[in-house]
Amino acid sequence: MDQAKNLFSIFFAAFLINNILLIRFLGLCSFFGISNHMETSIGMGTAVIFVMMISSAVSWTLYHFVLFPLHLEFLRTASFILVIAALVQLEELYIKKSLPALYRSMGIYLPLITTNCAILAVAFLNIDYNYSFIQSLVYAFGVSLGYAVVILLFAGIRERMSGAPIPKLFQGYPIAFITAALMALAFLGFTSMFGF
Amino acid sequence: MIDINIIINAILLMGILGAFSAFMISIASKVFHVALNPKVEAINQILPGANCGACGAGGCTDYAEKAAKGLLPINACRPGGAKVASAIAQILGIEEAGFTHKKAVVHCGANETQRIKRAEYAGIPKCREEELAVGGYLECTYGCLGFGDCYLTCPFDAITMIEGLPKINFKKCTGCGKCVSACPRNIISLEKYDEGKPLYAIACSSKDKGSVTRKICPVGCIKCKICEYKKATDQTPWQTCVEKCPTKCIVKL
Repeated sequence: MDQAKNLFSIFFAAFLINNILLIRFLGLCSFFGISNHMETSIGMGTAVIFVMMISSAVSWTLYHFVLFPLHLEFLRTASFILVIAALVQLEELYIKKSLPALYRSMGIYLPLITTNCAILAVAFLNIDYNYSFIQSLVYAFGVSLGYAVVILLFAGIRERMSGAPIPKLFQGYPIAFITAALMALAFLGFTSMFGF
Repeated sequence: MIDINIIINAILLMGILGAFSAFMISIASKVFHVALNPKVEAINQILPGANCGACGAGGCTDYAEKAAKGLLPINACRPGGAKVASAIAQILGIEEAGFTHKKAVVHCGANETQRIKRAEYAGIPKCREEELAVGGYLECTYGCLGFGDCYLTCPFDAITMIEGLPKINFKKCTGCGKCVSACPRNIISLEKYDEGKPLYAIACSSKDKGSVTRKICPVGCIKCKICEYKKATDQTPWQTCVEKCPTKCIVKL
């Protein structure tokens, strides 16, 4: 029971309270680049959930069974990047062969997010927080779900904004940044939830 | 003192990781190899790459796949025209299907100064939004609203807005039909077009009675039927129609 509660709090802390996009401000390049349309942001969101889960599982295993016993903790940046990139390549090949429909919907987003800073950040934070394997998976799921939900909300707002009479000075990215800032303020409201 | 073992371990680890990943990927690329149809690739190369969607597919690559499978006709690519249609026929080794040129034609001739407004409109400056919100701010319920939805949607830069009226450049127009579906009042249509021959069109789509049109538009069709009479009797009917039309709403493009 205690453990379940712990997992729940890890999930919500990652999902809302420390939202990767709006509170930590990681992975912003894809957040602004791909949020023009609803469909593309759905593709990006699912791809991020997929890759983040896999990469955190693999990086946790690599760190605790290889790097830590060999006293090579300082190599984690290089080795995580290498392993995550290789793994996503493998996944892409596999999906292309066996699940063509899924491949078409994720498409270019899989290789795109391989080098996303949010993916690497989650792999590091799992180590820094001393999470167990299950905990790190739950944490990765919370973070990626937070990413997917926020990019979807943002895409919805941006689609509405495309028809709005915005002053010329603010058209395009300026108004997108202002919107993101207001969303971040709104997400600050989650801070005191569950007593964190 | 640096432990020499750590350096060796680090080199070994990264080497093994890299080699292992490379090995796995090279195996996977063989095992999960997806055979691509070379014809799809060949068709994709000759398509214009505008991704306009006039063919009914999601884009040029999608059309190449569907054309190779026979799901879409080989002459469906409007921007590509006869050249692409015959090239695709050659690649697939099937009979050529022919191609008719089509151009977009605007059936309204009233420019900004000629339109009579029934209210001032201050909302979102787009035709579709305007038509949805207030049903048109003009007296004429059939005419061009002039915010240029067609101009914004044209992927080939063929439309220019002159005094609030879209003007279609036939040299650039491919007949993809994007403007046709963009216009909320359905005043743009695709018409058959032969190279070098002039195209005549009625620059009005009003279905109002003549007396109503006469009050609200100086260039609207007033249903006088002179053109119908001339077409039945004359040798060069269209040219005569252009000359005889009392409101000059039959135009040569």
